[in-house]
Amino acid sequence: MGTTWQLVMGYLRYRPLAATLSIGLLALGVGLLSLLVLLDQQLTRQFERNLAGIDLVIGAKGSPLQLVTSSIYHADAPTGNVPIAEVKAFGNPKHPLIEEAIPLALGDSYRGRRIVGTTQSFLGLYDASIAQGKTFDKPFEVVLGANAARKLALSLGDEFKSVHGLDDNPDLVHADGKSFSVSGILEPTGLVIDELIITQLQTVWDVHGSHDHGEEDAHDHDDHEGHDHDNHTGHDHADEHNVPTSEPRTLNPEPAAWYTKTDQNITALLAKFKGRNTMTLNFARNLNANTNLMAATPAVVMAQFSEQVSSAEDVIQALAIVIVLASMLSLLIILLNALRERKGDLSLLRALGATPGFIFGMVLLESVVLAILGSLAGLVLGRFGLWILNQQLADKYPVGQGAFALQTVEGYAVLGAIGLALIAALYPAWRAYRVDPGL
Amino acid sequence: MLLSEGLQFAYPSGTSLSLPDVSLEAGEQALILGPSGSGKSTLLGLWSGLLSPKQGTIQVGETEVHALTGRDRDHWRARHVGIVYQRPRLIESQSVFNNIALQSKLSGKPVDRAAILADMEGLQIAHLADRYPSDCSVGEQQRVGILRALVHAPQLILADEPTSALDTKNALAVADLLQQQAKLRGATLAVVTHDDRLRPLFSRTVELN
Repeated sequence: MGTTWQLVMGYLRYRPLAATLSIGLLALGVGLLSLLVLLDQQLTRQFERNLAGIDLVIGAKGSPLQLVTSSIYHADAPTGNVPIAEVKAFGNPKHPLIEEAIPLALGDSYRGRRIVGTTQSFLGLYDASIAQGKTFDKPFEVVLGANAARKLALSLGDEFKSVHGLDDNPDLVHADGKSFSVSGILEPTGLVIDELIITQLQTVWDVHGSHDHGEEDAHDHDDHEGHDHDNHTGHDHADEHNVPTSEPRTLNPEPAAWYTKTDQNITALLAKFKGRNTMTLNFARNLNANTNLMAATPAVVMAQFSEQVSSAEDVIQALAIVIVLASMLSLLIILLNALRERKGDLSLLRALGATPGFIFGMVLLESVVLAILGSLAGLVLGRFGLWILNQQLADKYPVGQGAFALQTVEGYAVLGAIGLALIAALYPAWRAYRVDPGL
Repeated sequence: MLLSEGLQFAYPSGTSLSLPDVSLEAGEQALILGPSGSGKSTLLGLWSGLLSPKQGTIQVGETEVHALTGRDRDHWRARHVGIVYQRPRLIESQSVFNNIALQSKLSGKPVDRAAILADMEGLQIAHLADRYPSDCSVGEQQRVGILRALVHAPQLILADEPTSALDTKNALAVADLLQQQAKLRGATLAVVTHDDRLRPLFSRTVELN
């Protein structure tokens, strides 16, 4: 083996261009496969982790996917608002099915970061703890997710004014509204909460209730967020801004029982069931059929979404496999060319006492070495691709811990590439096996 | 030590060649002379086990060469035969040292780096150990090729026209080197050539017609 290895490595070093071409092409194929696997793993992981045990999302009628992505992943516009009066029963701790219901009031942002009006339970949902300062005890106090604080360069005590909608549009700043004050910053969790600005429900209600609507006429509220305003009825002007209709706009502390504020609206309700039974299974169906509300099971919605995405993944995967096969063809051509170049060497080796089996093994080993190097380069390339994507999308889709770890599927891909390389090398090896030793 | 009797070889074209009986003692040095087409290289191929005779026997030491199977004959050749070519025939992708050590490795013997370097020193090529064949002169390559044929201490050294491409001075020097090294190692030496300039150097000559 030592002699074979030495000869093979000598040949690879002696003709680096051909070796590099072969390795590069295989690396491209394996790299693409690797990137797909890593992305898939990351997306699944992020989807699952951010579900945070939420069994059901309740909101205004519209697209279930939009409701889930806007309320759990904070990556889409909400479907609209719902009156608390319609969901108050779900907030009651005595509800027979629901263990916990966390309200969300969305609609404002600061420099592209979402402001989420909610209760303290929202922090518990993600096991988020305060790294600096304290939690939001009063209206207009905000707690920043770790990434939000870092990227917005905000510190404790800093103040800012929110923007209506999610676009960083200076025309939509609530210039006349009260400033938000940073009361705390969260420890990083690797979850979507890291990206958010969190405050009391009352804050969101106050912002939208207290600002001058006369001035708002200058805004194009039909365009912001793309809310589906057609799907919920009985809303007034304030509804179009995801805001409530209530009159009092005092800065009182948020009451413990948010669901008692039946004159207010929320955007969505994140619910956890007490257990799983037939009633919980039918719960969403009943809501959708008999009320103005929409209930979506995040796990089901995201599974359906993954299925839709998987057809695109299939195309990329097929492309990667074609590239791997093309690399094997190039490997075959490179080995045949090498055979022609080295015929004299092979004949000499036979004359010096190398057996045909030794020569056969040498060609196979060369092919396997190229396949291993190409595959390893591919695995590195896949991770480099993920790193590049992470640089671009880290704000919205940060990679989790272990994102770059080797996946079992990748191990199979490497073994597959080595197997294919062995098959590709069989013919050249057989021809080498038959080289005439001659003098 | 080398006993070759009743050899006949059939070429793929169907032509058959009869070769003279030859007997060489251990350590003996012989010149096999003959014009082109007289079967010199064929005889060398048969003695080294690279070619198989139609008839006849070849015995090297205790080994009946053509009684061995192909694989065993390859192993036997790797261990007991050293071949010197007209052209050095070195592997370009390997260093000079590795080219020499290659024969040791193929023979299954451990590579004694110090001994090989000492031999290289004796042939004034030690400084080339880490260089590649393309960095060496033709004369240096020829010495590398000779040392490769000797490094595994073979019983039999076969040289195929080792001097025919050289001028007289270098031809005599190469022949002298071969004879000295073969004697030093106690190996039997058979030099196959049509080069009459070597005739005075050998006490034993076999003529092929």
